[in-house]
Amino acid sequence: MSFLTPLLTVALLTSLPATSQGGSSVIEGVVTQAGTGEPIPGTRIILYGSGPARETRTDERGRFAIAGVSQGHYNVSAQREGYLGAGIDGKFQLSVSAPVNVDERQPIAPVTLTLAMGGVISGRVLDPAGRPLPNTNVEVLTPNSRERRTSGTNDRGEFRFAGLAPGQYVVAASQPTRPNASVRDTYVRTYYPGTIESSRAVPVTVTFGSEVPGIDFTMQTSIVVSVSGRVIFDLPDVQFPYTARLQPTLLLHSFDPDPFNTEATRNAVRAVDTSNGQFEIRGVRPGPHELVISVPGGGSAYIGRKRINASSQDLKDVTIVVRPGVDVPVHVVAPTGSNITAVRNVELRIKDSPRPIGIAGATAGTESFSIQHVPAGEYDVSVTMAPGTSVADIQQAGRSVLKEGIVVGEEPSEPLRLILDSAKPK
Amino acid sequence: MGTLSQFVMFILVAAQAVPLDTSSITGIVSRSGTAEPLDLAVVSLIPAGGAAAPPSVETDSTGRFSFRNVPPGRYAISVRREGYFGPLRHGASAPLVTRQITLTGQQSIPDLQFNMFPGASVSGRIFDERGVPVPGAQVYALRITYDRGRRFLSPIPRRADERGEYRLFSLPPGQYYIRADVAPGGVATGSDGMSRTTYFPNAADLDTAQPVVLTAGAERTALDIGLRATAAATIKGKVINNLSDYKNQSVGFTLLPHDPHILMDNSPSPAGRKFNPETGDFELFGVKPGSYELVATANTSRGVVGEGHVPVEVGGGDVNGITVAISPSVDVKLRLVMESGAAIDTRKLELFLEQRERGTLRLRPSQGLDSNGVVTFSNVPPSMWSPMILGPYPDAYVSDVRQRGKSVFNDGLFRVEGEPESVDLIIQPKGPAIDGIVRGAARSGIETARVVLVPQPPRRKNVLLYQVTNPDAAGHFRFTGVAPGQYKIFAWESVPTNAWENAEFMAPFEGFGRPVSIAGGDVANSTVDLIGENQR
Repeated sequence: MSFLTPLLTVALLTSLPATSQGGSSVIEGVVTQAGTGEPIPGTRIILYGSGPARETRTDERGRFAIAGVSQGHYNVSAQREGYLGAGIDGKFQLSVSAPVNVDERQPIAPVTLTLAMGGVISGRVLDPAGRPLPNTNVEVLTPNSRERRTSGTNDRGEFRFAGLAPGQYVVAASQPTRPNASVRDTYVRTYYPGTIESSRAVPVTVTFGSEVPGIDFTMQTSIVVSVSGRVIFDLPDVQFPYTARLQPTLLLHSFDPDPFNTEATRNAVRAVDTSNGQFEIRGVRPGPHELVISVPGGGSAYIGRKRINASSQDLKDVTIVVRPGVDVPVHVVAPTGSNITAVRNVELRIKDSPRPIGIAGATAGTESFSIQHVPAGEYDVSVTMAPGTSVADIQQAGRSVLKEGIVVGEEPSEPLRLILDSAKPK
Repeated sequence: MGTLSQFVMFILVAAQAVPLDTSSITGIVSRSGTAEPLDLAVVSLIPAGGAAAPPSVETDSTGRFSFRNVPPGRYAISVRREGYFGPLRHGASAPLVTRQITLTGQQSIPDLQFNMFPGASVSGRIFDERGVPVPGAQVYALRITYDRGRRFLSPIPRRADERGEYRLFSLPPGQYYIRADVAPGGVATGSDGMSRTTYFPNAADLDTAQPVVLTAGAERTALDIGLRATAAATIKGKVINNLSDYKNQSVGFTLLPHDPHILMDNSPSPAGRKFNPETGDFELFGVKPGSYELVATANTSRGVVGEGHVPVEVGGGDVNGITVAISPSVDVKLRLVMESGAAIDTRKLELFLEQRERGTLRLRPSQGLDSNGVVTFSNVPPSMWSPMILGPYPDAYVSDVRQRGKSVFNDGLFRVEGEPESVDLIIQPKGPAIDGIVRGAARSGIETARVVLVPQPPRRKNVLLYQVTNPDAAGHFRFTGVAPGQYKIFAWESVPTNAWENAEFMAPFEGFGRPVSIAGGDVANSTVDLIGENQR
């Protein structure tokens, strides 16, 4: 770099507490800010090479030096909270790195690494009386959910997100679930500038190096109701009182079309009384939901499902019957050139839901297996594959079910044929 | 005929008696001092004897709560509110306030008042030795706690932001040390031979650190810490793990100060480490000079499956060639021996093992009492252990602990070292009692003082012999089921829990203890002077 004159380099070598080990070469450099060229102090520098990695941090003038480096090929990486490395495919990295070749007979050119200062969004979450709300979960999300960061407010209701890639962010706040809430009007997920409808959220635009302070908003309240009833086990090996070590898990899954609602599914921890199967979930927002209970047993887990529609009144006497369900056999068809171990797992997901719940998985590497204990209902079939591999089709009784999904009834299910793509992985 | 209808009438009345007999309770939770009402406080109504899921309600925006249709009985009402605490008592602030209440029926208890104290906050910036802010620095607020006779610093962690600024909040009032380290991640911390652990304001160790006293609601700002780089050593060695299945184990390392009187910083060690599970070779970086006990613990999903200990002296330079042999966890059988046909229902007893001196494990039995009065603990790692027993028998006491036929009652501890052990616990159904009175400033609130029965040397380590109680409003107290022997009784207006097991804490108070000798009679009497809040 032009401003790193030989004179400066000498000063740098004598003033910095250079870490030393082994060889006699020195790798030195500077970290600057993209665009402005300003030095970035406090940047973590890590030298990767043949030996153990070494670390140092830049000084107040953004400079660093690592002494005692022996001959070889190295990579110098720079990383600092609040800063981003250059983007690859439009995605910014958390660090930036450069290769350095150390040859003891030749001087090493100083390394310049450039980081961009990410955007900052900061603000406060308040209660309707204007007081700060501590320990509130705050999220910033991009519309495609590629970027999602979470944080909590402090005792002054403040939150701060630094190092954001340029873009538009929706800011959402939610209070932790309070199992003892007795008031029906309670805090619900709220979007900046203070709405419970994500369609009315005003996104915040950040650019490199910009801070958008003052994103203050008030938590909104809404009617919430209680959903209660009973779980009934119609099972060969499990009954109430339930004494097994592994507890049943009850999920409340909202059919909430809000793409920003990352809390549409929540775990109703210990909602089920293991002595008699009674359950109560408080704080449920009106709307369509599905209750899904998973009960350890029968070699894996039994699943019970119940669709409910909560109005503005408490919903009582809901019964969820858990039956053994049926097994859905899966056969993997692996044409030449495909790899059967690429199948990570196969899931059945509750249909008509933007954020479905997996019902069962399966192990990789076997040609035939079963998804066990599937309760009657309609499902989408979803397959997770190893990177670079894909599924050509999923068929049942000779028909593709990739788009339409499958219907599971009381009768044994026709097997699923999972046909792998023979295209070679990249 | 008449008799029958009367009988029917009686049944009807009896059936209705429950709702007719119920009471209602209302109350208000507010901030101490300002009387500002506190909403969203969780109020629980706990019947005497406890309940798995007691009825709980939240206070509304005026701080009010109510319970209706409460059957007669004794209850504890407990109140919790995020960011708020009970009064500072015994050197600690509980995260809740409780109050006892007895309902005889058809009562209406109005306006029960609960006051809570706001937590405190500290904030500042972390700089490195050149004055550059440290983004993402790891910061801890540490407060002194006592556990198993040792003084610990219990950490409350927080990360600094990208500007090196930190803020720790909702801290219970009390005395703290603030500690900072460089940001975690990256190369193993300390692998450059330096430690950067620094205590506020700029101290490399606790001896020169400055404690910070936080009162309720205090907001201390600009508590900046300049990290110091101090010389540190690397400990290199090998773990010899003869356990089967060692490839599925993770091995953890802990360095404990060898001297149990040294205040132990219980926050995660910033020292970097390397471990090769294939060869057992390990390196621990960034260790400050001192005498340590190195503990290597092998863990699986089943728990601690083995442990090894070795003393390590760290002076100026690196320490090489340390070998830690991991011994397997074993079964320990604890046999209850009841003397002279005691009427004790062993099913009501709760037994557990507590690790002493080198660790903080508490183990519950894997198998309950069998017909021979034996409980089995599995996976007990090698260490010193003390048997603990709880039950609804206030007059009963443990008169001896025997390991392989030999009494270990002086310390109440037994050693497990890779071999299955069988330990006898001799239980006497009825021991002597001590009746006493706390003498001192007859101020109100003496009920919250703590009276502690402390065994005299050589039995100071035997935790089975300690007893703690509160005096009544007149200052009377009673200890029951006291094993014969020599004791001292102390009465503190305020004392951190379990601090009385710590020799260093006790040293300045020894003169205040009232000696008492229990030979085996029925009741001994004692008078104890109250040790005031600021007395030493």
